[in-house]
Amino acid sequence: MSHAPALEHRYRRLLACYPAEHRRTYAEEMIGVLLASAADGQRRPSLRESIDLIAGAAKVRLRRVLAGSPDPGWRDALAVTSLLAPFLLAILLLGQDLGWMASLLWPSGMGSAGAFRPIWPALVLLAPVALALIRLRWVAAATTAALMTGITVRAAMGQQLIEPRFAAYLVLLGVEVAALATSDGPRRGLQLISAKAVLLALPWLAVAAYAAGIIPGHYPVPLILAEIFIAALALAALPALASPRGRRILVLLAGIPGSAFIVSLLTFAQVDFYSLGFAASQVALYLPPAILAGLAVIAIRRSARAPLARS
Amino acid sequence: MSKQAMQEPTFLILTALAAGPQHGYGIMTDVARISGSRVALRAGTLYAALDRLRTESLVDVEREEVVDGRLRRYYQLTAGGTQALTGEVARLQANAAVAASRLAKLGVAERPGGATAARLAGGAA
Repeated sequence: MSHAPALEHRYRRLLACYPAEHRRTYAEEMIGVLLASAADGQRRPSLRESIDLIAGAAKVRLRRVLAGSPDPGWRDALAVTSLLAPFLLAILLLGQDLGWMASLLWPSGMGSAGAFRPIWPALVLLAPVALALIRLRWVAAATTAALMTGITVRAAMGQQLIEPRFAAYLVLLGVEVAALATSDGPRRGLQLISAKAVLLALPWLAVAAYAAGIIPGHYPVPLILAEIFIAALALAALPALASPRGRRILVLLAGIPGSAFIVSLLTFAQVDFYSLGFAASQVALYLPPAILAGLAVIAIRRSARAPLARS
Repeated sequence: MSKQAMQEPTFLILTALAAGPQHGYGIMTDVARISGSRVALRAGTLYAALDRLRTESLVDVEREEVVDGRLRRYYQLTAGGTQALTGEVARLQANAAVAASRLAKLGVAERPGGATAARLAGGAA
C-alpha cells in the first residue's frame, strides 16, 4: 500500500490536536494504523478521518480535564497560576480600583466602612487562595466563579461591562477559576515556587523595600505584609520563568496586561472606545486576550510538536 | 449497582480482545467483522477508547514490536476487562430475554436469521 509522505505529514498535523502526553504514547502507533487504513494513492485525510481524529482529541482532553489531569507541564503551570492570579488581581486593585471593585462586590449600603474599606475587596479576592490552601480547592473554585458571576451581574446592571479595566479583572478571575478547577491548586503551586526561597527572600526584601520608601509608614500592616509576600513570590518565581513551565505561567497571566495594553493602543489610535456599540466594545475588550491566548497556545504547541517530528 | 451500560465501540473492542491480544489495526478489522461491517471504528475513536480502557485497567499492553520501522502494540483484556465484558454480556442477555418474552406475548417471534415477523393477523411491522 503506497502513500505520499504528504499524507503522513497531514495526519501528524491532525494528531497535534491531542495532548502532548497522549501523542508521546500513541502518535507513532496511530500513524501506523492510519496509513494502514488509507486507500492506495490517498494524499490527504478524508473528512471522516479528520472529524474522527478531532473528536477523539476532544474526548481525550475532556477526560483529562474532568479527571483533573491535563498535561503535567500545564497542570503545574496552572497550579502556580492559581496561587499568583489572585495576588496579581489584588495588586491591580490596590493600585487603582479598590473602591470601584468594592461597589461591585457589595451593595452600596456598605458605603464608607472606615479606613479599611479599600482593603477588604482585595482580601475577598484572596479568600479562594486561603480556601485552597486548607484543601478546599473545589470550594475555592466555586467561590471564585461565584465572585466572577456576582461582579459581572452588578457590572451589567450598572452599565460597566464596557470598562476596559473590568474586562482585565474578569479575564483574570476566569483564569483563576480554570486554574483551580484543573490543577492541584495553590498548595502544589507553593511547592513549585519553593517556600524556602520565599522565606529566605522575605527579610531582605522587607529591609530593601522599607529603605527605598516603597512601603510608606502610614500603610496598614496587612497591606505591607501583602506587598512583601507578593514581591517575594515574584522574586522566587523569576528563575522558574526561564523554564517551559514558567513560559506557560506567563501565557496564562499575560492575557490581562496584554488586553489592557491593546485597549490603550486603541485609545491612542483615536478610537473613541466609549462611543462604540455594546457588541463592538465587547469584541474590542475580549478579542485581544483571546488572540493573545490563541497565539501563545499555538507557539507552545509548535515547540511541543518539534520533538515529535524528530522522532 | 448503578453501572452505566457500555457504549457499543467499547463493547466491540473488548469483544475483539476476548479472542486474544491484538494490535490497533487488528482490532479495527475485527470490530468490522464482529459487527457485520455495521461499525467502522476509526483511529481517533479507537485510541480514545484504548486510552480510557487502559486508564480504567480493563485493557493493558501485552507486547510491543517494531514492524517496518513503526511501533506496534498488542493489547489484551485484563481480569477487570474480562469481568466487565462478562457483566455487560449478562446485562444484554437479560434485557434481550425480557424483550423477547414480551414480543412473544405480542405474537411477534424472532426468526432464526435474526429478522422478526409479525404473526398477528394484520399486525403492524
